[in-house]
Amino acid sequence: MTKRKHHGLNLRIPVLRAIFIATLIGLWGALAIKCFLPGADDPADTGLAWLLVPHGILTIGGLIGVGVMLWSDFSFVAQSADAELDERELAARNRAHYLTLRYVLCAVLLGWCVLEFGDRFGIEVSREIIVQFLMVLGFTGIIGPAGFLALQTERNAEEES
Amino acid sequence: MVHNRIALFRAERQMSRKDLAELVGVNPQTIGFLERGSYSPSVELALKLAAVFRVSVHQLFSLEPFPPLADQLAPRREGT
Repeated sequence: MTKRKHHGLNLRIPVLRAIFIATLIGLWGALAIKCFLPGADDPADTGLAWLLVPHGILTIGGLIGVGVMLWSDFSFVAQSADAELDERELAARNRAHYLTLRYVLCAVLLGWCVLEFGDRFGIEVSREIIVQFLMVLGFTGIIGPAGFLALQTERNAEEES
Repeated sequence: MVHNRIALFRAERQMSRKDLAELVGVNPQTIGFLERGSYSPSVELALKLAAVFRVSVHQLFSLEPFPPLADQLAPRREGT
């Protein structure tokens, strides 16, 4: 038997998957809204102040999702030492970390594209947008291993735990 | 894909997945993954499982699907 003990929230796999996807949509959605807010420093002047409400809701919802993901059992598995996992869990964890790395690299590439070509599509990259992009990248990168682990775990595995 | 008879041997010996998992040092979920063919074990784990059941690795694992037990017993029934 492996030495691992359950420490976090023991959520059902479909629930965790849904929270992970909703968190990604929430945080990236908030960033997208921020990008299309002209004069993001003071949107009240542009008549688009109402967009701050969905932006705030998506950001807060996303951050709550990050908190739940970080406290989930899968997050502890993703951060476990090699000796605490068996060979299958180790392979799954390594795959989840690899997928997270790919996700972060793709996001960084996307960020570079926006910085380089964003002005052609009317996106003014302000300091606030860069700060929010880094926040989204950081938080989603932290929960990535747990999320990808949940996405690749078979649904019937939870019945055996 | 690697086929195996883990579920058959485990049922024959009246062992739970947890019992078998403890004997070979893995999580009980991993035994489920192995039985469903969702995970192919390392050589080390295959040897440990074969040792628990006291059979050869070839009797426990195969690259070809194992014939159904009913088909294997059928000729004997006809002969008796």
